[in-house]
Amino acid sequence: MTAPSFSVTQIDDQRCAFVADGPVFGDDGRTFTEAAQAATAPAAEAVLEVEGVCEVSLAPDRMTVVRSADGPSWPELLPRIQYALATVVGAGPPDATAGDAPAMDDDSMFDLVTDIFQSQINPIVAQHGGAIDLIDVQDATVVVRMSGGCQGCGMANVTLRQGIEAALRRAIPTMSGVRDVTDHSAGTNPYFANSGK
Amino acid sequence: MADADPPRLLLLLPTSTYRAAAFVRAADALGVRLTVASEQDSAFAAGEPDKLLTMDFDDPATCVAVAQAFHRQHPLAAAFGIDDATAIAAAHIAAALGLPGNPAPATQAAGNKFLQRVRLAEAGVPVPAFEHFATATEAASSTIPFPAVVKPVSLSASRGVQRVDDATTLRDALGRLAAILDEGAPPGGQACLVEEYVPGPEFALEGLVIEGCLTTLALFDKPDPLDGPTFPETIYVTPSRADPEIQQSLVTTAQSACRAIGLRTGPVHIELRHNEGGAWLVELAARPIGGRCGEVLRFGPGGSQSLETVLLAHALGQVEPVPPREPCAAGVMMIPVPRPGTFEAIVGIDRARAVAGVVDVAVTIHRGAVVRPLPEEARYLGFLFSRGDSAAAAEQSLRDAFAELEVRIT
Repeated sequence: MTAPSFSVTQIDDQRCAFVADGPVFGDDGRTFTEAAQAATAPAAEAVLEVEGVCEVSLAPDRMTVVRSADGPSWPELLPRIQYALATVVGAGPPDATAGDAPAMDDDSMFDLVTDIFQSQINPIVAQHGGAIDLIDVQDATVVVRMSGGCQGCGMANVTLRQGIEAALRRAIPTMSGVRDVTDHSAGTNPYFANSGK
Repeated sequence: MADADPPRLLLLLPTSTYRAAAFVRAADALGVRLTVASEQDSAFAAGEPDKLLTMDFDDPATCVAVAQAFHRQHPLAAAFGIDDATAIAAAHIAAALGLPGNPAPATQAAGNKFLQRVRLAEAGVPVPAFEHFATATEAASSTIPFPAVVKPVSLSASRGVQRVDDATTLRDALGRLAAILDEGAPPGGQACLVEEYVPGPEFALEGLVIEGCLTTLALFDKPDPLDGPTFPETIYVTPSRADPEIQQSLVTTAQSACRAIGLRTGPVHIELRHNEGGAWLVELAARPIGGRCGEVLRFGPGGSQSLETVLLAHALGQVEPVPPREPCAAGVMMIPVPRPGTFEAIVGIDRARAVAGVVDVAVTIHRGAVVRPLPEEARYLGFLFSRGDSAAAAEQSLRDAFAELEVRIT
């Protein structure tokens, strides 16, 4: 099944609408203010767990999110909400109408990528004895260093491009790219060693 | 799929390849949607099912089944294999999905040294006289006159290939080959060839077959003598300094070989020798050049396109005509394994990089790796790359840079 895409529109200073390209939220039509209330609506539950979100209203193809007036700004919140949606409904990147979505600064992106690496990426690469360190975010480009089984691995570039970058891009559509600064020649235990053609 | 969606490429990458980065970069440069298939699971395969697949490249029928299921949800524009096994798998996939590609029997013949020689000999392409044996032990009954060459049918990159000059060296070489096959051959892959040794300088032709016609992308000289007893690849330099008549003879023989095998499209890497008897076809592969050697080739204005970009663009039907190679001379040297042991380091890399004409030095083996030289193992420690105003200058840069390196193996 193709992952749904969301367009993001900022309604006012407090509210943003995430409009899907199809019915993905069921027929709830309800409003939640606490994650604990939303056990039957996983998307609302996941988004309410984002710090700074105080209310979520669901329609079949739309989620309206209200942020706390004294909480993080929309540029900080949006990628976290998109990431939460991606983990629950497998959301793809926003479509072209996402131009109304506020941009994200490098510091906010760094914090979000740190969370994603800890919660999602590193547990996966650990299966191959690898680890990914976030070095920096520069002009929306995520700079990483690989170690363990990833360092010197013949498929490191595939992991980076097809796995890590794809996962990050789903959560952070405004990310420019991922740059690898690993010294792969210094790897001592690559998961896949070069040995053939 | 919307009309504006870029085409999707299925790239078949074995996990042992040196060239994953080069092909991924090429796919990025072309703006395609990329799906990578490998013979072992990627850690991200479950989470990225439209980007990562797993296929048993030794079983084309299962590759086809996986590709067909994928194609129903994510239509493919092309399937591309980068080595012998994946080229065969890609041909089967292309045939099953109705995509452009080589006939599968042609890639199978190209990937099997015995079938290849049979097809070439039947078509009158000059190949060494050869005999086929089911095992190395049986090859002791060979009647090929000395000097001769023994080689396994199922291995590549000169692994197991040895020159023999008399009955004693034949016996020793076959014993060694039997051990190599026991260790490294795929199931049922114990067969070997004994063939006539063809003297003379060796060349490598990198080509692209388009609708059955061979386009030469580069003709390399191999200036280090390859006289045996083993045949380690070292230096490749292009353009060739051979007489134009010899070059034409090599290209003509390569074209005849592609036709005899039945290749219709895609990359070929062909090794030839030349002597007073003319050009001889030594090996043909329906794949690009191995290792990281392809990085030495750049195409188009300012050398803006890599070999991999040209090949993937052709596979997707995006390039016509093929852009010319950049005008300068270029060379690559594969750093051989000098002796068996545990690899510790290559020192002097900065000095090697500082040699005029050297554009890069890449170490491709990891510290602590257990290494053996040919014929037991076909593995390189790294690669040196050079550019020059002339082929001689590019070659000299490689030799000067290599002289700066010290390989530490304990």
